[in-house]
Amino acid sequence: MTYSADFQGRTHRVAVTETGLPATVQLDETTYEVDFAPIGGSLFSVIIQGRSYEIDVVEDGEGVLVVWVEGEPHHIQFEEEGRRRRRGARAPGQVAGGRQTIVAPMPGKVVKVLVSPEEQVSAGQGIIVVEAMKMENELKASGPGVVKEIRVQEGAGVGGGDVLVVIE
Amino acid sequence: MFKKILIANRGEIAVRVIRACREMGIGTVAVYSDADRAALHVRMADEAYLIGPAPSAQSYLKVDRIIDTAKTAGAEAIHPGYGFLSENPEFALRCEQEGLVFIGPTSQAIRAMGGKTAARSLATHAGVPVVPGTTRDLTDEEVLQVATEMGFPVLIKASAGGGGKGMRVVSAEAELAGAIRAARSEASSAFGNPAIYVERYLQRARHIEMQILADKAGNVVYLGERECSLQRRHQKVVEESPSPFVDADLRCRIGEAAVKLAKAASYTNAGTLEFLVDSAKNFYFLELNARLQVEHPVTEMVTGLDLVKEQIRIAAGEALSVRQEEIRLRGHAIECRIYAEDPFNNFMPSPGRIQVLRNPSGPGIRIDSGIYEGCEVPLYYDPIVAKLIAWGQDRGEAIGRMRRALREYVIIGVKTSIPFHHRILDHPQFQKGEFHTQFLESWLADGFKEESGRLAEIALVAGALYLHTKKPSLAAPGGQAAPAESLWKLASRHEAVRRK
Repeated sequence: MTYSADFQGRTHRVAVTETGLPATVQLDETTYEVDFAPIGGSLFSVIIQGRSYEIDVVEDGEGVLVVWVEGEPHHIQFEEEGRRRRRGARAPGQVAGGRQTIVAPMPGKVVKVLVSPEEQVSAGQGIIVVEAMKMENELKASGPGVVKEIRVQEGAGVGGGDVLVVIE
Repeated sequence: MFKKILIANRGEIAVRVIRACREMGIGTVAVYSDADRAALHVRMADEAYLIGPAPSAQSYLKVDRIIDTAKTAGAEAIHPGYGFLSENPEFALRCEQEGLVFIGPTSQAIRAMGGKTAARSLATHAGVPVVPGTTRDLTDEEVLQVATEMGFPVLIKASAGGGGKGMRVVSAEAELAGAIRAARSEASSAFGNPAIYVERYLQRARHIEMQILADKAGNVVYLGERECSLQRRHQKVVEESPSPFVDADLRCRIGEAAVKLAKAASYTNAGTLEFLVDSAKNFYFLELNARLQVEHPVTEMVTGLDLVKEQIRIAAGEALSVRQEEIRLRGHAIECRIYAEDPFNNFMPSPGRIQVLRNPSGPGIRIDSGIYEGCEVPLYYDPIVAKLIAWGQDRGEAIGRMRRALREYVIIGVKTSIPFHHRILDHPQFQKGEFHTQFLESWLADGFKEESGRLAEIALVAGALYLHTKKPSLAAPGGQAAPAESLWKLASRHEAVRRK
């Protein structure tokens, strides 16, 4: 199975060719022999050429995995390569977007909507300002894309987890 | 000695106080709000009582409820922790009136040192240097006059409070009117009092605070300083003791000034005096925090004293257990405040459920925390979830241990400041001990956007293997992980491969 994986604005190609012990994984141009052992829950022990790593993997919805390595998180958007090509996405190596949902982190109120529908946005651009816990928070796009849906208006109350804006 | 103490707080500090009480054989009474029924401090206490709905104003700040609960439970004393009612002179007074011992200073001392301008005035009278500025509240016209005389930049501060609220740095006269308006407005909403005063703004100074203990017989000692210059929006992020900048002579000068001021204020119990120290090692008194502070563990680690137990003993009328000559600082301690905030998204609070928690341990590591795996971090309260403290024989070892512990520390389910702490501890300025109060913010202004991606290759490989061995379609929305392959299956496959 081959995946495209978006991390920090770059797309990588990851192909799993053998899942015995060890598994063989090709990441872009490099091949790795990997001993991948589940420990329980989200925890895995990974040994690559004798180097040992403690890994946690948590699903963040919509194909995003948060992979923790040595206490540091990596937010990676995975997609099976067949599906991605069908959606007409860009080839590996180019800067990628992917669907982003801007979600209210907690109950609050929409103070200002900073974008308009069909507007092109870039990574880190402010999308919407939400007030909660006596502070104003500007929610930002995590990657480039086009604003597809704005589901709220200025002044609206929102609940934690509510999808506010969809970017593709 | 008390037989029973009520802890008027929650989270990690409530757990801390309960532990001290347990060690002293004192019964513990916890109070909790609707949002905290499953909280750790509730389970750890001997008794627990519901005091109201989630919002603090309706529970942890409800003086009547807390006093009534203490009486119902037969508690003789109340420990207020930090925040909440810990520096509320009305609460301390009510305790005194109701025959309950407030574990802290007298309501009079809280009142005397709580007003910042009054505290500055007292310090000046006691011969303790203060940051140049006014010792009384000012009208808008007076602010302009004082600022022009002193020279810019100046700092406008709220007289009634702290924590960075109601503070504005003003670099030029043109900014003054707007800054006064903003400061008064913030002060009004945060403390109910728009009074402001003005100080000279000391650039590149260090925030150094001195811990003191004072018993009811008038004995006062200082327990060494804490370096608290690493702050974001006036909130401390990393603290350490001793300060890499303070030598024995400066420690002595600051310590003696702190003792002098505490005596002048008739201060009792634990307290902390905050100072600004400039590059020429001049020190200036800022304010006195009339409570146990969040960062007290670093002082405990280098002095070997248990400050909560000392507080309880002092409140029970006992004399201090140490004399000044006996106090020694040994080794070096660093504390990282772990907040449920997202450092990659402007430190936005991140309430939620903690799905995975793995605490670091090993030599020199201490964790003060109120969380457990599966617990909910509510959105109603301060987002501090834990304090990670590392002690070493010297600063280098403490740093090494802290870096190691941060790598072992895994919290999944809420975003935390752990990645931020990684970066701070790795920073060469931090490791050299060369920083001041503006350091963190100016470093952050350059952007703290991306995850380090240090081990990106490993993460990509592991993520792909996870998906591959999981098998169900990626399209499943918010998919739960399929049960992990059993270790038995893996082991038998391993055996089969080996035997070939």
